Amino acid sequence: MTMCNITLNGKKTKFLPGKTILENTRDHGVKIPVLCSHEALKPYGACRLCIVEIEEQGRKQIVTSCNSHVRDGMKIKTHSPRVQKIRKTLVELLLARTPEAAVEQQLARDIGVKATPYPEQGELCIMCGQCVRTCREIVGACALDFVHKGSKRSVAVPFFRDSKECIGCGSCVFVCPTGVVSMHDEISDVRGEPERIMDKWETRLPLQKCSSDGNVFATRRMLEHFARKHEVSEGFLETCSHCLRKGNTK
Amino acid sequence: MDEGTKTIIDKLIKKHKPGENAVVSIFQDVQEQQGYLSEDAIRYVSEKLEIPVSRAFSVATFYSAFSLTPLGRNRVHVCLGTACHIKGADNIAGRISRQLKIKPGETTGDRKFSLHKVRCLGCCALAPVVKVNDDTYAGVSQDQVVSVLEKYR
Repeated sequence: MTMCNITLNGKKTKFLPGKTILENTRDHGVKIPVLCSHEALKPYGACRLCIVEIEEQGRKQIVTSCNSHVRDGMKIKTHSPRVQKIRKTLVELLLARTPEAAVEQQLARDIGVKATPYPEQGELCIMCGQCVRTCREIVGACALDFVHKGSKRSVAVPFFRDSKECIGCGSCVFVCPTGVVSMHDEISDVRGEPERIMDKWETRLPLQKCSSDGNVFATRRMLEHFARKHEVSEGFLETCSHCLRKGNTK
Repeated sequence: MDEGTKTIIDKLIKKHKPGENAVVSIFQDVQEQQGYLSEDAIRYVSEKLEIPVSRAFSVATFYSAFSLTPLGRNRVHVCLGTACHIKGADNIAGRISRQLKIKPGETTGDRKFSLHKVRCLGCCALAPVVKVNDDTYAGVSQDQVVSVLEKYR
């Protein structure tokens, strides 16, 4: 592949044309702050923190590096005064929305923002959409999406309760950078059976007990979801991976 | 969902080009015919268009033109855009609110009226403007608005 000739922060270098500006700068050891970007997910461009200043044929432009591709002859500045000024405002706004979020506080420290001049809202969700996109792109359950708009915008399951699409896999919990998405397992008061509760999605899912060692190991809907998408071995739906590996199927 | 509603939605879906983009147009039609988007209707449309329910629900909550609860038979829109605001639209909204005993965004118990605040109806020269269903009332006063509402009882 022919490489692109790039000027990165004043130094001449070569970038891979198939990769985004963000990926290329990372390969060159230049750190650009990001919030909504995740290597397993498609570029999204929501947090705007990854902005860089590019110059082509004398024209300067601010673009989000996560979803912009490289062209030959591009001059890229990742920390120009203009970029840093905008980035500072962005961090101040994000910090105002979620002052308690550790990821936000760390970001503010990195950038040198001590406090936000905007009124604090005390939210925990930063709207990065990683849970929504993971559920859609990786898991394929499509249980989550944004609802409402403007200041009322939030992430929810349809009709805010009992999602029939959520499989309780916990990928949204795993990927959430602020910990606002959570789940826990408990014994149901009603049926006396073990259940997983997706706290934020108001959804309860029955858990499967391993037929061999009796331990609870996954939600039933999660196992069914995998069985629909992939060919699974016999006993997959009833036996935990630990016992399957040992060959203890019943 | 009853079969009647299904048939109505099926007809509306046929009218539009298939695919995700049709969802807004179909919801507009459902909203107009049924007065709101029921949970069943949203689920049925998403199933027919083969889009996730979460996506359809996202669209349904995004636009203020869609309501998830049944609206009144007569929709009263009070414009609160800049020109109407200057001409005292807040007082008019307050008067309607007192008259119908509902807050903006609510529906009367008998389902006759629902009250909505809107930002601009695009006819600022007629300020203050109140729209009931498809009828526009220009330059209304607080007293006039009461007699306007009586026409729709």
